[in-house]
Amino acid sequence: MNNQQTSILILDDEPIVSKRLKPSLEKRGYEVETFTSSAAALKRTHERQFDIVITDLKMEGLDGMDFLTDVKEKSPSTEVIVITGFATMETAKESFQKGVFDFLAKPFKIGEISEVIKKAEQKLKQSS
Amino acid sequence: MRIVIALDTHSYSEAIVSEAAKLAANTWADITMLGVQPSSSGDMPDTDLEKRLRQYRKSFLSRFNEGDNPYGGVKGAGKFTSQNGGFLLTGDDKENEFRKKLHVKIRVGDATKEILAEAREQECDLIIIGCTKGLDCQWQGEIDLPRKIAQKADYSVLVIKERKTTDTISCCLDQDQVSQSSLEMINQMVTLHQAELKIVGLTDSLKAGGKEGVENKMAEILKYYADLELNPWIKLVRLEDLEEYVAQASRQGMIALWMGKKSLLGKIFSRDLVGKLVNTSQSSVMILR
Repeated sequence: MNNQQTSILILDDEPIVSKRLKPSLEKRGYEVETFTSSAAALKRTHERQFDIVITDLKMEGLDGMDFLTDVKEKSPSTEVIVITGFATMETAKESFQKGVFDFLAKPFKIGEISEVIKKAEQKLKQSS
Repeated sequence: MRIVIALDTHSYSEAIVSEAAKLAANTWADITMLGVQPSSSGDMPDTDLEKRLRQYRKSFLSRFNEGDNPYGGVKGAGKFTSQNGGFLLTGDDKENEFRKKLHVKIRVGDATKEILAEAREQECDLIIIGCTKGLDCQWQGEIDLPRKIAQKADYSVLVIKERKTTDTISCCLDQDQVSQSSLEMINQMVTLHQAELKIVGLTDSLKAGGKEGVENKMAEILKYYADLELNPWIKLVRLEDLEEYVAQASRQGMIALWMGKKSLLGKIFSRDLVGKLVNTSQSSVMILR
């Protein structure tokens, strides 16, 4: 990771989530792309690499677990943050087994996810 | 998700630790276990409260297997150190070693004010508090404290009066002003309890285009759940019958009331009625904000 803007991809099939997060994270200096379709997000991750990927789990079509698995396989250095409205211990465990950076249950406030993103950035900087 | 669990030295608090641990096991929320003592005579917290909070922490952590525990282990006893006029349990473990935060704190002062202040400082999403059974709904010997918390908090509040199996969550929503975070909180509760969800809408002939307007808004909520592949029961209740319905539903399972500032329900249920519901309920009441 260099000194360029940290790039973040947000995938959540509920548009309101991206609508809330995007302006707030851009204000904090991040480069943000948002998607409501996992297929479109997957296509985008095949076109370019993101520093951080934030993804919901429960979605139509390709679900979040499959999506993050693909992201980590293609780009192991990308830090993945899972956000979910239907959290279970199993999904939390599975997420971490797949190498996600953090797991956030909804609802969460902007401050909480911002803290997690900052920690992910620190990790990226340390490993670069 | 961030949760503040208000705990005193009574047995109902022990019971809610168990409930909170189940929620934490699912959500991996950041947790603050909070005790409040009325005054401080020096650098040491109240001995009984300190002892109980240590036990609650241990009990909370015992719910997790070693490999599944995002909060760290029960290493050492730790010690309460003075912090901002109160006390924080600190141990040998470094917080950053663990995925999630589990803070154990004692604040000093008026219990209602201190619980609300902690929730504000933590920017929490949910306050969990227990209380005695019966009508007076005591917490730490103070009558009606959970009611005051439910009334005054800017955050969702779960008052656990008596632990019961939650088969049904009856959720009274104001269709005009449904907050995303309130829906998300309900969804987590439904997932936790594997409960049947009932969405209760109001038919108010004087507002929102009468019954047709209400039904249109209910259709939006149904679509929200259909997109999530959930099929809640939908019920329309006349405004004048709502209080009675809520009282009945609270006897059958968890009742959730959306009480944001712009909520129509907030106007229907005066703040005193919220308290009345908390006091008379036989199970858990969640005030959604």
